[in-house]
Amino acid sequence: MRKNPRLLWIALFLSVVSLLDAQQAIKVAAAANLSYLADQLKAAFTQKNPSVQVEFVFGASGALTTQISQGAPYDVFMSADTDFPQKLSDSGRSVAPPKIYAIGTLALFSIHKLDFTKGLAVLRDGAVTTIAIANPATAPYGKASMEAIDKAGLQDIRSKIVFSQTISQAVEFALTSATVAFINQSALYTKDLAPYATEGVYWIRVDPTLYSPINQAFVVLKAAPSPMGAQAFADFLLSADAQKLFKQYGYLTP
Amino acid sequence: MIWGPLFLSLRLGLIVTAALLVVTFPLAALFCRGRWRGLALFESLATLPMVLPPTVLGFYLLLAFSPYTAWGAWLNKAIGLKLAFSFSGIVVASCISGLPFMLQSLKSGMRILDPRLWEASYTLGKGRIETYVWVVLPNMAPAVASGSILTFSHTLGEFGVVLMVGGSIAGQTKTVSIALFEKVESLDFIIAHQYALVLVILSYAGILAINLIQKKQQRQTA
Repeated sequence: MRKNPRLLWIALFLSVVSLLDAQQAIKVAAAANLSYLADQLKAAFTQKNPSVQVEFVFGASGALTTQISQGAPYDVFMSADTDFPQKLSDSGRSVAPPKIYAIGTLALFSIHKLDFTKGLAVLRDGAVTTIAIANPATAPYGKASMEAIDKAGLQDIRSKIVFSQTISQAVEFALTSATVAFINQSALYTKDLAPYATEGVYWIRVDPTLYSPINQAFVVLKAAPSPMGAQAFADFLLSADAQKLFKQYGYLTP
Repeated sequence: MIWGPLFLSLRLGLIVTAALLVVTFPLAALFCRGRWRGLALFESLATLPMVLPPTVLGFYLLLAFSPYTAWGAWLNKAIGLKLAFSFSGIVVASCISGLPFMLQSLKSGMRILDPRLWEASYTLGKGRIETYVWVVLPNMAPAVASGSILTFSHTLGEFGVVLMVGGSIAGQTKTVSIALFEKVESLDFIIAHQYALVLVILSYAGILAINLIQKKQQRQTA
């Protein structure tokens, strides 16, 4: 090194250049139902926008809304409904009003081969001891699940319900201690649930007329640390590439 | 509305504290007076929940409690114990996570007792169990008190394990710390403040009581 100090300068120069060229990183606060296709979304996005890194933070939509209204440094918020992002938009925390990127679908899932030919009425069976549902106050899928139970006239099974904090915890409960769970259909397309992919055996789609549509909307946040990357990601969510992915995972598209 | 989760937590705390007192006292005697070298292994195991992340405990308990595993099914059938998503489940979970707090207090209380206490009692013809119940226990009352307070407060604040195995059922597993968490998440800060304030007051009162007991003890020994 002493012989050739120029090397040192070159190294220093290169590291400064690499700092200046540092990739933008955006943080996306995403509803838990998106955790199942997040890697795919990320891959598809970075392919088109190699200079922007994406990092997902998952939670119940209501929980994320609380964090954001307390100043959490996220760039984009992908909710599982339209109400929570609307709240943020009303309080002036978003760049634009919420836009719907996908419509969620609800499935009834069990690893215990229940008699799903009965439809939702299977929940009345003696074999069904616990029904996992996401907390309706913070998770839009939970709210939709409760609506479906009420509309199907199954109020009498309420004593079997156990609540999870997020929709993905409901999936986890179904895989461990609960008999059955109301989950996002998108979870069923993942590798982990591949053994249970057969519709009618391990899961059925909950009749969509039993619950109000789960219109999932996003907002770009005003406090976004990387507004440019955030906007690029927002555009991507509505692009054909992203929409194709959502369809693949059982979502309806707006 | 706000009282439900509070009463549930208080009930949980009392049951867990009482159960741990009974279970831990013989353990403390064993670990304190036992001469066998291998005891250290078991003592470490009993102390483990103190440092173990509650999520680790929650994860294993969720699997252990499941009525769909051989062990869980046996519990359910043989003794009619339903631990998944039930009050008994969070009692068991809290007992495991509270064990080290009671154990450490009782052990240190027993350790400072004069060994001649045992000898005197045996010489006077008392049996081992009689000695522990009528001689040792009353002489370590301060340790029993602070151990109970510590265990009770810790149970009141137990969050991670209950979150993972409870299922947030009102009147069953929705304890005050879970209710507080859910209120914050649904932006209901008014109720959240009420829960939080009660917890601060109770916890502070507990720590204050322990400190007063220790001060009193120091004055007596000095």
